[in-house]
Amino acid sequence: MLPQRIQAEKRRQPSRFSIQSVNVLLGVLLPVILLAVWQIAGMMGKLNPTLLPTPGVIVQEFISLTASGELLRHLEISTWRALLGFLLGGGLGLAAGLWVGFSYKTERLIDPSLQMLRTLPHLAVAPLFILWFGFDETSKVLLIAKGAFFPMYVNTFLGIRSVDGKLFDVARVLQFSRWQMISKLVLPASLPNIFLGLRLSIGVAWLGLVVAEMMGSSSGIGYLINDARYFSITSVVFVGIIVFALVGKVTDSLVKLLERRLLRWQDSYRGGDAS
Amino acid sequence: MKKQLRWLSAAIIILAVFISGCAAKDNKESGNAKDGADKYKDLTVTIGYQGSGGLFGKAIEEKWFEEEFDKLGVKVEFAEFQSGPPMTEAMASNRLDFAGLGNMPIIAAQAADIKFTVISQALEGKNNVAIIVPKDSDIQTVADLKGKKVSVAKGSNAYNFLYRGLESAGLKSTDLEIIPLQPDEAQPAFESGKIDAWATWDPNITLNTLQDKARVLADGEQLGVLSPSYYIARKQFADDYPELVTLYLKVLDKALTWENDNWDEAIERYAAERNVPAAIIEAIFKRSKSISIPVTDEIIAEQQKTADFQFEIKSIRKKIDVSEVFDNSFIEEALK
Repeated sequence: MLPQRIQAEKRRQPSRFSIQSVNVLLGVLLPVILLAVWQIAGMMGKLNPTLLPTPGVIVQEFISLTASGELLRHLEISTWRALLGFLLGGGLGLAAGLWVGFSYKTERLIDPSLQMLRTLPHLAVAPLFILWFGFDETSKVLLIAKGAFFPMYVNTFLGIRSVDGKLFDVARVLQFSRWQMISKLVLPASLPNIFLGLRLSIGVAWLGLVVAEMMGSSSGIGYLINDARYFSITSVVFVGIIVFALVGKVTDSLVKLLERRLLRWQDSYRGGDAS
Repeated sequence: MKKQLRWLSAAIIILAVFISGCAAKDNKESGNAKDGADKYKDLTVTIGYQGSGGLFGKAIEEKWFEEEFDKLGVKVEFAEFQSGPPMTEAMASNRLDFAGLGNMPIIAAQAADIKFTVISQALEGKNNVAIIVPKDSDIQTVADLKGKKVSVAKGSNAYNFLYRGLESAGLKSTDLEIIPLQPDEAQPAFESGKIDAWATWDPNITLNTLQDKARVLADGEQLGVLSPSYYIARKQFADDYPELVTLYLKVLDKALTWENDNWDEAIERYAAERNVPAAIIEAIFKRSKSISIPVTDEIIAEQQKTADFQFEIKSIRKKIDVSEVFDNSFIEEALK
């Protein structure tokens, strides 16, 4: 083969690696440009430092908070709360979703009440939770669990109910037992929805922290943000928000990874320009 | 690759628009020529006050502020707040021009480089802040708070008061559980016994003590800690329109004069607003009577003490010279 030919081959079939790296670069490009503009505008004195500290100042704050161990301590507490709340709320949501999904009678009995509870905003019930359960961990974990329950419940229910009816006919022809029906057909078919519920639920649990740690809390990332607000130390607020975003993104990516491994058989649309 | 280029150029265009938008905004602000006729063109003054009703409730109803400012073609808007810290936040983002708030929020704001000017003193500061405990509580002194749950609004004058009180009793903040709550969250928690003590300001003190829900554990007079409140104006606003700051203080004085001259009517009115007996309002007046006077050197020295103490306990991150933010010229002009 002539060298030019090889070159041409290469051009026609770009390696997987180069596509991936271009994708990563594209994803990074916008934030980087934005940060640069932000930093420069701040240095030129065009931004009010109380409202928008420059990225440089925020990074310094981040380093000093990390060095003092404060950030890690709060993050640890927040992570525990979110995890407990998610396990409790998500677990119950999954169970309730399965139960209601498999039974039409249960749906009529329970679903209306649950849908009513679903619309209660966090902020509205937080003071009540404090009154009922006091200022220790119980009220916080329960508040997070309340948030984590619904996405899991709704999506599990939806997943079960959206299994293709034709597949049921096939299963009947193949004389599946009830157990085989559930394990071989219903659960695998509803997994995509359950995973979506899982991702949303983790997200909501993480978000619920802010509200749970806003009232009468003296630890956690949400507390860190609020405390800094009362003393107008905006750089700490930004550090808190960034930590929230990073941890949220990392957990979401992990779930996505798990999802991709478990749902390899899926052959669905991935957007028009996915190469 | 072509597609990616398209995306890239789109992103760059968006950014360019964003940057030029920012620049355009700057031009508009700097091009604000201050010549006679146009001086107050499109100017809206935002006045902040804490809690509904009261003196400002009356002033708003009577349109006293609008009356005076309208003559100059200036619009007036009001904004209600629960406590001081959100007020300084609003000032930092240019959404608030006037506020009345306690001694601690303005120290935190000065340490955070928020630009404002103290234009007069609003409360004397002897009895308006206290630590209260449930009536039948076995806590008798501040030292008894050890290991107890104490609620306080972060960054408020009561926050400073609590920490100074702990220091005088030889306690460290780690010796007890301090739970940060805003007044409307703390009230139910206090009543249901979820917290053992509450450091707060009036009317919360009087409302609880006179309704037999609480007794005062310590107030400013006992501990020798003053918690004065002040009226402040956004610095840029005070620099641009000093005559409007004076006008604001003049209207405020009018409202205070009404309150003094119509004592019974005022008490009646505030009692109806809060739905409490008139005796409670009278007691609140005793604890914290609204004033608007020049700030004395003693008060500024006390304020400096508070700032140094807050720096010591690491609530604020730098040493500040509080005298920089006080300016009595407006109130002196207004009281002429």
